[in-house]
Amino acid sequence: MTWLVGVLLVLAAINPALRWHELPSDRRQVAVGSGITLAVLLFLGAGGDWILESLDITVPTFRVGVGLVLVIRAIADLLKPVPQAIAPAGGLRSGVVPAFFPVLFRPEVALVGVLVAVDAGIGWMLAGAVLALLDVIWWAGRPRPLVRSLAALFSVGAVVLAIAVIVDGVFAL
Amino acid sequence: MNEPVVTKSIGSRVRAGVATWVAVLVVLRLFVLQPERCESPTVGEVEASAAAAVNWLVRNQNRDGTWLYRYNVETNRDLGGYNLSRHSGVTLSLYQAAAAGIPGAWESAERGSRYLAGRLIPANGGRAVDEQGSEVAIGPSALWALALGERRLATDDDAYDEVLRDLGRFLEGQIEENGAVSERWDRHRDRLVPGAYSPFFTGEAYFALSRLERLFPDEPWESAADRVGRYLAVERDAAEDRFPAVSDHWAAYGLAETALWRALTADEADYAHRLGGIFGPQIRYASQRTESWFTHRTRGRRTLGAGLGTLGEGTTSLWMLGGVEPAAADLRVAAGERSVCVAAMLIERQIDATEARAFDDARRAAGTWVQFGITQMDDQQHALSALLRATPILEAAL
Repeated sequence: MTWLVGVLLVLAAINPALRWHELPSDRRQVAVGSGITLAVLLFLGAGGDWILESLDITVPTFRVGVGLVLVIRAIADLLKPVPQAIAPAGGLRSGVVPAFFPVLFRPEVALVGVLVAVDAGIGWMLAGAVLALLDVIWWAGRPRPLVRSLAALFSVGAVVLAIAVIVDGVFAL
Repeated sequence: MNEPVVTKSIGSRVRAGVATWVAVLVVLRLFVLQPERCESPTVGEVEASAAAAVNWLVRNQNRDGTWLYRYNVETNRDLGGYNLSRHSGVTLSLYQAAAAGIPGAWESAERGSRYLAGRLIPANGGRAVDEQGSEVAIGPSALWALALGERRLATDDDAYDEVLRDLGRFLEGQIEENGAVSERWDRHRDRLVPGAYSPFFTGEAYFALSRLERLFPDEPWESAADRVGRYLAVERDAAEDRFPAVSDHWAAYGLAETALWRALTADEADYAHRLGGIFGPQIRYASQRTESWFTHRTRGRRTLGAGLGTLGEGTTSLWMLGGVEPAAADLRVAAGERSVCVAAMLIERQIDATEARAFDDARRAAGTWVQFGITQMDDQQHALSALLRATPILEAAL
């Protein structure tokens, strides 16, 4: 996996435009959620090789699994209506629930994070995550132009990248 | 401000989030990411398994040099039949075992060769291993040439050199204009049967011609090997309408052999990578198969010993290729891992001496790989070759 594909995969998996609909409008809460997400991704990425080894999964097979999850998720995102906003709650605890979980820390994000870390390098996984999370922090509570189109673009990109990852996994030695 | 007007409660959203996580992880583990059981065997375990396979072939060789072909270990029935390509293939694997120093392999291989020597007939300006019928398949000749090449490399004994050359001339005469290799020779017309192709004989011929070039570099084998190699690399699957592409371990052997006397072309290197992409998924999938009810339904039953062995032969060839050919060096690590994985599966799935006691005839059961209770001599052949060729990989990792 090249570094560019790795960065784009993380961006597409997080899909900051789509997350904008669900995240709290309080930027501090979003920043807390993003920080926790980044820390967990760093933790998972650092332990990625160990996780795969412990589960007896090779990297090519993992690519197939991650690609399948991402492609299903991205297609579902394209077909479904935009997600509903979650009822706001006060305080920075909302940075944990709902900002970190269940909005930002999703299965496809965690899986892509691990894959990119082991396949392209943890630095590129972090680069993609930082870009996506800065985006969600920046736009939190602000009107976002063309948000639906942008979200769809991320989803289409995720489908394309996920298929490439699956093919790469299936036809890898 | 965010546009949605409808809001969901945190509780319902968290419950949905937890449910999604659980569903994704459970479904992924159960159906997509099943454990790939790839232990790393020791060199001693690999050698013991290979020796058990050799012992089966030695014990079950007939006086005329042929071997027990197909046998049901559960009913203790010789199922009959014979195939000369497999006879030659077993002879090749035994010469490989003899080169590795496994006792009994040399004598058994020599008996196998004497049987084939008695079946030689003039063909295509060379000689071929005869078969019944008006058309003669080239597989027995190609594989015996490989066996004799292995013998020559291991011993430097030139006793069969003229036979080797004649087999090479026969194979050369089977090559068509574009490098395709006809799978049959017409004895009445003394010419190839045009348009008849086998998925594996072409790779066997390629490997044999490439080995002849390595053994006899002053003789004109290079051009024939190159023509077949180019055809395999760029044309075969489309021209012969092979879909999915052939899982051609013989071609992988051939590429590794060719790289010993010249650098691969870009097309050949690309083909080596494509072969890796054919062997790899099969091995990973095979390593997920167990004897459990669940994996029978989600992954199918375990493959034949022969099938698994050919995959190991393919990846060990790519490992060797990666060690000598810079354009294929990136294959080496993964090829080594998959080869070791195949060796581990073979060891685990072989009927050992203890397990064999459960059968009516332990001498015919011990050392075999069976599916549905049946073993065929090429199960032992391909598994043996894969095990032997995995040994240097394990030694390199020590």
